[in-house]
Amino acid sequence: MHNSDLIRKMSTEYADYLFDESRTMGSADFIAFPANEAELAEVIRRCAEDGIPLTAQGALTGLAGGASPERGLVLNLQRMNRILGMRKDADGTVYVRVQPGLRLAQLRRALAVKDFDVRGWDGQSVEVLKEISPGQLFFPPDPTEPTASLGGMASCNACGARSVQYGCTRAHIHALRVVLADGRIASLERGVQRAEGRKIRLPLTDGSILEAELPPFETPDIKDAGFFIRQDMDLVDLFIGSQGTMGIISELELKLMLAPKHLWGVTAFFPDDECALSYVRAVKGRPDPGVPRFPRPAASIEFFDKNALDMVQRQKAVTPAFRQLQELPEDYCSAVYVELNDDDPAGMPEVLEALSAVLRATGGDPDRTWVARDALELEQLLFFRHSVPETIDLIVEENRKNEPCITILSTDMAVDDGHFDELFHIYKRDLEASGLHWIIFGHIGENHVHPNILARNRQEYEQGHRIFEKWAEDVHRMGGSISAEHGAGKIKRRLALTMYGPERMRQLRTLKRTFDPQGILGPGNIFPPEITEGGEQA
Amino acid sequence: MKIHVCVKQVPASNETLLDPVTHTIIREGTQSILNPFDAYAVEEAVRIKARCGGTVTAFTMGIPAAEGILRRVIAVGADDAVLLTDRAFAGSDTLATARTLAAAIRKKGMPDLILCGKMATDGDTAQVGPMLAECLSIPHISDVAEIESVNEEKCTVRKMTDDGYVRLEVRLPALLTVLKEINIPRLPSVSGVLRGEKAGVGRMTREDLGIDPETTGLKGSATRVVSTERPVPARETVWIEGTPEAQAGQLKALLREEKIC
Repeated sequence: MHNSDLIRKMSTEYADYLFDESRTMGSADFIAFPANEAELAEVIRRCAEDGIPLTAQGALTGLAGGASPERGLVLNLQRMNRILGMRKDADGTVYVRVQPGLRLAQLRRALAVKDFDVRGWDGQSVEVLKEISPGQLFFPPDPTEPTASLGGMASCNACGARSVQYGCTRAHIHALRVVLADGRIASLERGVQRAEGRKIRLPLTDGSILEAELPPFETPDIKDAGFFIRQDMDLVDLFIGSQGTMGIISELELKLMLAPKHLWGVTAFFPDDECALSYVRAVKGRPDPGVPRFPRPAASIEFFDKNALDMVQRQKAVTPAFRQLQELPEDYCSAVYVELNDDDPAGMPEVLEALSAVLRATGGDPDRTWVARDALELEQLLFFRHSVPETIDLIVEENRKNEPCITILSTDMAVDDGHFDELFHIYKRDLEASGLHWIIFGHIGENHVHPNILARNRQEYEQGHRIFEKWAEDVHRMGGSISAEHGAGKIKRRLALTMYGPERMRQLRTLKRTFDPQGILGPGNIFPPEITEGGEQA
Repeated sequence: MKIHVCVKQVPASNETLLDPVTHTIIREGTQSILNPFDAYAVEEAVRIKARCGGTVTAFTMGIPAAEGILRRVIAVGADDAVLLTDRAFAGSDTLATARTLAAAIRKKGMPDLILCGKMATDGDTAQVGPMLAECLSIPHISDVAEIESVNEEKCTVRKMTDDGYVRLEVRLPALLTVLKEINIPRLPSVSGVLRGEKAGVGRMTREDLGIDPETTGLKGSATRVVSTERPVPARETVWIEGTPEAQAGQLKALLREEKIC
């Protein structure tokens, strides 16, 4: 492959593009920053001609190494960051078309303050924009990292805190344009291009058709990062969650929702984890005996264990930006953040009265809470939530100075409501027995907290992986998913093998080969080496 | 110790929003919040009350809906609150606002200490606090970064200046305007919010204050806003690309061109 304006030889200048937030260090020979779909397709065509593997990157905020390249070319999509237009359907639902490198925070800001660069928009889009007011519409998925790119979120089917009410990213993607491994382009709309049973006829923009057969099984119902396989499925879903192994997303059409007029957040502190779990069950509408029913569904429920709170407290002493964090109450143990929304603020006192009763009945205390009722106050609670992964980043970066093989070791396994308590206690028992540094925080509302292991050396790092593999088996037994939102990427591909089993993994590989015969897309993602050995790349 | 805090309701964002299609200013949908600087004054008042005992009373002048921010102040620990609301107050500039607040504070009884935020994020004038002190004929210290000690007689503070900090002592009653570095304002608790919602908020009109209509509102204002406009960015960002050597070369040429080096 030749060096050109579009495809450049890798050099030290681009060293920051060899790893994502998980710190999975990769390697690459070339890098490209396409600015539009035509350039993106051109890069992929040239890779296909020369048999060069390529790894797509959005904002590099992934936690499983999905965007860390494993040889070949880095396909960085950060320049494809425009909002391309809008449309409204007959029901009044508004859709926005974006490029994959657009960051969630940019989209949120554009919608919140109605600040769009309308150059190049068609007349219909401008007319739709005229009718909307600032903050009227929002895109619900809420991964902890708002600088994530929309393409990246689709690629790993990110969920985030609000998925308890609104579902994952998949539920909010209406249409996709995807560049396939040979540079051809598919334009797919939910409800229009579907599989017939297990037969796929994928129409391409050049008039050709790609035929394939779906594997004879269905992927887990509990969350679905990784492949999504169903009879009669929408073909857009093949490319959501599959981490750049089936095709590269060049454009997304996102379904927007009416934003709730008022959003409140409440962080409550509990004397132990059992009280916190009881509170979570109550706000989810499944109160323990003797606990009053909470009348309002929560938009998000987040958990922080004592280790997570202690870790942030320690970091507060050394990181100036963290000094604005709220003071924790004395004798804190665990905390739960609940987000509530409503169109009428007049109902808030009643909801808070109900919450007070639930707090008292579950061992909490209405005085030991933080309430946020406007954008600035909510920012503080979200800042607190975000300080946990930020601190993990800082600690992992520090630990890597001793042992460069260390990456973020964060899990996002999910089970159904009936199995969550069992899984939570397995996490705690195994971690307490391990002697490792660990914390548990995350999206408890949807039963996928993030136990994180903060390995200090190679031995601890390997021990962490072994614990994760054991949990993958536990979760598989409970019918859950090994990755609810981060994707398997490279760090968790062995866990994906546990979940799918070798036979199904091979069937998925066969499906991938139909789309990507040379195996150039997303090398190393999802498929572990034993599935790809024998001279064939995944 | 009797402490008064003056607060203001401001738009949540100080960003002027222009409609990308019509290029007109967007006014709808802007949430109102407690002026962020005032939250530090409220927090400091509540902390002093916790140390020294006493009461904290909040004052604001505004439309009837401004009662909401007073309930928020009660939610984080103020004991009571007074809303100055009357059509006669509309259009007040900083001087008319200070005169009206001064009348209310006299009416309510002079406190030992008055705390204000450094300024409001909508007007950015930082004038009302010092003007209020002058109207009440009490000393004031602006830009206070720390209250080192306080009792009913006097107060020692660290004030930020252009060159650093100065330590000042002031006899009470006095007024202080506080900076963001003075504390971290607490968020209210669930119980606090419910207390705020149930609390009675006092209201005062021009007649209650017994002030001359010529001294408040637009009539009592010494200044007039002639026009407002959004500043047009006069600077352009130039992106330099290429290898580090090429970038350095281009930067050097640009600096020469601009006669910076």
